[in-house]
Amino acid sequence: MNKSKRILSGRNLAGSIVLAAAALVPLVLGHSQYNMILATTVMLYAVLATAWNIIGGIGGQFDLAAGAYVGLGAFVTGTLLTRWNITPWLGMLVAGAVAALFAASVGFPLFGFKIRDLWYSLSSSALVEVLRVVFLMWAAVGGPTERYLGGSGSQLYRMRFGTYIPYYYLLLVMLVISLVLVNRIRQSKLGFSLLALGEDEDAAEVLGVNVRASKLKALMIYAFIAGMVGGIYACIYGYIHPSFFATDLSMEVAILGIVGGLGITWGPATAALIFVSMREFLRARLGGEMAGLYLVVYAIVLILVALYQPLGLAPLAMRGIERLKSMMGVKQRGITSAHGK
Amino acid sequence: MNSKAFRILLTLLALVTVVLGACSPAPAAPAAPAATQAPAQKSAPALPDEIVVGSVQPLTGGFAVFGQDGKLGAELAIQHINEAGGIKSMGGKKLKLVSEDAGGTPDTAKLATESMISKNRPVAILGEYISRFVMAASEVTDREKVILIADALVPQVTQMGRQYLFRPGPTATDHGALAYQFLVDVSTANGDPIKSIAVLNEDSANGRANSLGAIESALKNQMPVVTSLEYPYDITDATQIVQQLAKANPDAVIHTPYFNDAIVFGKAFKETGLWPKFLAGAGACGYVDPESIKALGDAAEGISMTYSYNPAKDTPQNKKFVEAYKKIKGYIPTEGAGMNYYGAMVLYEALEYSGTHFPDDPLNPENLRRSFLALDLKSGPAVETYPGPQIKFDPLGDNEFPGTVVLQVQQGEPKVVYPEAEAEAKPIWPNSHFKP
Amino acid sequence: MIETTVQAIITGVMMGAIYALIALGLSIIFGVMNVVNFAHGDFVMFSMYLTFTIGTLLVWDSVQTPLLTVPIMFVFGLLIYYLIIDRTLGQFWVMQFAATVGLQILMRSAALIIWKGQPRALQYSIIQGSIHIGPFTILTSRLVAAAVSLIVIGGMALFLNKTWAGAAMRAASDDLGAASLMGVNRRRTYGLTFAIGSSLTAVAAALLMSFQQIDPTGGMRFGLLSWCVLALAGLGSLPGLLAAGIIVGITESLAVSFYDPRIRPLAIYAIFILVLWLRPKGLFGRR
Repeated sequence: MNKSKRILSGRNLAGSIVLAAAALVPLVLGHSQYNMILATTVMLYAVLATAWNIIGGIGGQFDLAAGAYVGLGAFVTGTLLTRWNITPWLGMLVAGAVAALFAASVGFPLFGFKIRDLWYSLSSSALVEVLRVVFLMWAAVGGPTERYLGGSGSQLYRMRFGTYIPYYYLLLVMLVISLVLVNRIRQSKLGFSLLALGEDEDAAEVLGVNVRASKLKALMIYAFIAGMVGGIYACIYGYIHPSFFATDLSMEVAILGIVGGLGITWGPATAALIFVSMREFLRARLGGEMAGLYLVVYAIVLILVALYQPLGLAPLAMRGIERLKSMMGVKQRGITSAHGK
Repeated sequence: MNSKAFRILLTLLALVTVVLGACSPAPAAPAAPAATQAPAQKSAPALPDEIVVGSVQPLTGGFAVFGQDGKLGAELAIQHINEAGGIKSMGGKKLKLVSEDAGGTPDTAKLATESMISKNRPVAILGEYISRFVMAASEVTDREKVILIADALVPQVTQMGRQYLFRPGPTATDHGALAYQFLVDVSTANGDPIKSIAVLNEDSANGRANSLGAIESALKNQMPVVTSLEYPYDITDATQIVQQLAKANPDAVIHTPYFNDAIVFGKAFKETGLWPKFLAGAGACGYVDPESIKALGDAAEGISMTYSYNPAKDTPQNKKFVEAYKKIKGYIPTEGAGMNYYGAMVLYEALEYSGTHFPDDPLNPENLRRSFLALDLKSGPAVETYPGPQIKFDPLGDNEFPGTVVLQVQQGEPKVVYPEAEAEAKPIWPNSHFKP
Repeated sequence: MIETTVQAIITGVMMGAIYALIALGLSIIFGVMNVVNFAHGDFVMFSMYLTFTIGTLLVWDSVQTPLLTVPIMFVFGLLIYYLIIDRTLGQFWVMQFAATVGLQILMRSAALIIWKGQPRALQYSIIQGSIHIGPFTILTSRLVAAAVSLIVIGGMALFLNKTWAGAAMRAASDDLGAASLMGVNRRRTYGLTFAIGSSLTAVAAALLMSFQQIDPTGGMRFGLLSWCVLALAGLGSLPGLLAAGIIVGITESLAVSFYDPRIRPLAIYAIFILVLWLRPKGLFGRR
């Protein structure tokens, strides 16, 4: 394939437009800290959901342990800063590594015993709770009271800015990296292996795919990113607490990945944008009156998508556009998604 | 796959959503000249029509019980201030209260605080009941230079170096110490002085701080603490802990719960029948408020709790407050309501002071802050509703003269029983369920 | 030491029986229909809130509430089956996952709206009280609850073995194709199964509400507990379910007595993960 042609293709151009728009957001909203923290939260979920795509969307393993990796990342970064005054810029990377290692050590036996589908999801969900309780009782590093981030040095060194804008940009950069990663993986050997085992593990094994190694690689990449996000999260909020090991967050990341479109690069990020904004919008408008109403709407949307569009909203949108274009007489190209069911 | 159009569609969608999210549902005047004037201005900045005060409390989620009461206390205070003529030193300016829901986690509390400040630019915020929330929110209020009048108990709240944080109420340490002192005084007065205590708390900062206050007092007086137990606040089954307590056999138990675990424990005590000679609560949550008494039934009888507010205080302002509150809720104000009421009154006093001493720019955050620090109240609506004789802030923002009282459930009603100067009834000793 | 251990075991056995009952509905649904109901724990939570409302409105004791809650949850189960679950059968697994997770969120937030965030509890139940045998305390509420759990589990076993509907369910779980050839209507059988599983949570709820309180986060607790018991038990054996429940109950009780009340979830999830790693079929599983 002609490489230079690819770089200038429609997809990448459009993608750059969107990212440029995203980069301009702080200019539009920056005056309001409230809006900035909203935008930052959207970014947080966008990064997590995109990374989840690697193991969940392409690999078909519905991991529900995002909270475990985020929490670990937060604690590693926070503790490194508070105890040894190590800047979170470095701490983040260590956090990612720790999360990845943890994921590997749990995943190794888990995948080895051919735990799949449901049981993988359930045990990953349990993992989050286990870590939460462990850190709750681990008085030296965790404990039930919040640990406020300390450290000395400039704001930049401690990564504790007075405004949310720098965090937003940092997460935007991570989003770009994640998107590129997902794209690359999809077209790499790892990606094909994952797609294969996502469809039918036994068949893939027979065809020579090293199922366990592929799953582990995907899991580690995803955990690394999640760990880094956890580090950033700690710096944004300025404290660490075992409640960071959140089951709700884990479920939400998976849901965004599913609703966005399994395996589609842009899907989860878009879902994050739409759903997190919608959620906060509803909460702000309705939250005071009826707590939980926004969640009801959220849940109904999820159920509808699950029943009628389980491959996510992105393929639906794309199909809609294809139809539009065919109506306008433009040449069609096939639709590909991670799982062609 | 040609997804260019799709991308553009998505971008448009994204922009629309973001713009929608940015629109505030309650559009406040963005040009309200609130307390963010540059100090170098020569001419006196125009005062807004109304002085905006914020109330950020947990109105939904696990702490809604407290938050709703706190909000009502603030509302009544603002109403009474306005009825009495507003801020006279500023020409009778009225106050306007806006409220936001802090939700159930420090993150939502922080978000609510950001939202409150972004939309309304209040001169001060009353809130946020839970110490964790106050600590998260105070980062925002200090950055934006908005005064935060905190109704949270944990000592660390005022030790974070915040400049714009004031806490008129007592700390958790004061509560724990008072619970201990109460036990000693009451048991001695009844000819049965206690010889040992046990300390029990839920494992948050609040629980621990209260217990520490009690333990410190006990150690100072060489009173043995036979056991000190902690548990997660969302505990569902307290039987095992109750059994452990019974085994340790203390004369009295000082328990610092939150709302729900108090009910779980009360029921566990009743179900097992393993009551201590006296159950003294600390930390102001649970046991003696109307919801808890209803849920516990006769198990609540005789249990005491320390409070940062005295509903029986015999002063005109307090009576006015209690009556107004009772009319709306059907029961006397709880601690959350009381703390926010006198918190708002303290704000009133500070505003009056600022209007008098900084007539050019009374709503400037620096001037307001100085006014708070200059206060030394021995009378007035704030002191009249405060469970103590004086309000004066130290440099960290704490009251140098913190006051606490003890309430006890007597015949299904909470009664103020200690200290004697503030009491309306005599304490009952020992706990009626106790079987030696 | 011995005393504490024995007390812990006594408590653990009683709670274990109750845990088995909580997991029973899930076991039947998963066993017969191979349906993953992520929202099972929230069914229990919802039933408990329902119990609270009925108990408070009609001033009924917790143990009387099943008269109403069981039929209500039965109908509810049917509704959910036909509206949601039925559509997800035989399809890509994502559907069931996302749909039941959505259901879970829906139920949790509905509970939040209807009953607000506070925990709710009923006034004292007639079965509450304590029996003291030497140094040991047996809480009668737990004892009665355990006894009822045994009866219900036994009843379920009888139903599955002796009635036509029960046989249909068993047949459907073994081999749907063959079963339908024998006249088993898949939809009706599955609908019945789901409804039964749902109404069983109402029974468990009534027992639990006699000595516990409920809050919207209870769903997660009961959910993971159920999966843990189910994983330990394996599929296809009701006595196995009971045994698994008791094992979980005892382990949890010992952990809490000797270590720290906070370790409770840890004990349960540790069992869960260990079972999945070492013996995914469960201790008593047929398949």
